[in-house]
Amino acid sequence: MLRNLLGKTTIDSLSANGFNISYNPVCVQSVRWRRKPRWIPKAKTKIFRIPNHKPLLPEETHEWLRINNNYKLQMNSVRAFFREEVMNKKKLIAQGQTPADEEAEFERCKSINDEWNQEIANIRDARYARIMKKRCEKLETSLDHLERIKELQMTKIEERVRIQKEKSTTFITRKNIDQAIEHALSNQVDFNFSIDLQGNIYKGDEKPGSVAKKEAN
Amino acid sequence: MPSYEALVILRQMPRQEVITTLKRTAEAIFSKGGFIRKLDNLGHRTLPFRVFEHGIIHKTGTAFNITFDSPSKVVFDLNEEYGRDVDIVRSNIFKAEEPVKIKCTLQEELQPPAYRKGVIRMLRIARKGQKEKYPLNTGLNYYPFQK
Repeated sequence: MLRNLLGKTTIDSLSANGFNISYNPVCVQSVRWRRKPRWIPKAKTKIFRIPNHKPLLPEETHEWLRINNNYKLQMNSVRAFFREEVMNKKKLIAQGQTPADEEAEFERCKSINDEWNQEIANIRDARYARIMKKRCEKLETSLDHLERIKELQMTKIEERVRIQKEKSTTFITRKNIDQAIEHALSNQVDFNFSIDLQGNIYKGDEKPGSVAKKEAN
Repeated sequence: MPSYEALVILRQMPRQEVITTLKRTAEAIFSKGGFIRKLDNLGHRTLPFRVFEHGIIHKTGTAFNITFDSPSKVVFDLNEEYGRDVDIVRSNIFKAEEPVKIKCTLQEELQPPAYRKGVIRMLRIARKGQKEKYPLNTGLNYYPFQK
């Protein structure tokens, strides 16, 4: 609603300019029931309920346990290793002994990182160039398309104007009104007729069988 | 200016009075900035039901169809004016619609379903909603666990 009232100014620009405006397009709905408290006894309809657990194949559980234990062992050992390394480093720094080749190590890592960054940057620039080229081509074709549409519209409009100009000779104005009224009163028009695909006119007041064969103008 | 068609039914009057009434109705259109394209006389006929208008019961009347162009804001005023006119039994102003140009798409409808435009559109929408299936990379050609 704020958008419509203020026209071009949107809520985003207002909030960007320091006004505390926010809008919440999502409906906020909070949790109404989480779990039954432990001190409340089980419901009478649920005391003797036996849950149907899926039967697990022992081979599957064995395999799953093996995979899982291996993974956990590896991860925990890696984590412990890193933890120990970090602690040792902290001890050294606390004692004031920094390893001598730390600077060199950092430089080496930095140079490798820069190489990688450069490779990726080259790939990215090439991709951007391709995208720009596509966009320019698309824009050009759309401009041509727009021009063609405008031309079509102009021809349509001119056609309509031409038709109206042709019809304007038969228009009735204050000058012709008397003539037109005389003409209308002397010639009666009957719209109660139907016409078939061959052009035969069937007048309304004739019997359904008879046909007045006239070519439709 | 949009085209309108006014159907006016005049009460039973001598010919001279009919002419003056018609002139009056036309003058109303001209004074409000419109022009008339056609003036058709649909004839003197008995009305399908008796009309009580301006204190008189009318059983017959002459019907005229006036096709005119006028500014759209003027139509309301015209209706009101014709309603006040004693000689006009009934009047209605309709918007003259241009005939709709319908393209025949029978050949497209008769094609087998796979080639029909609507069906192709539906399939495209259905394919959009499906999630991507990622390869398992287990080296097996079946899912090894019980889902």
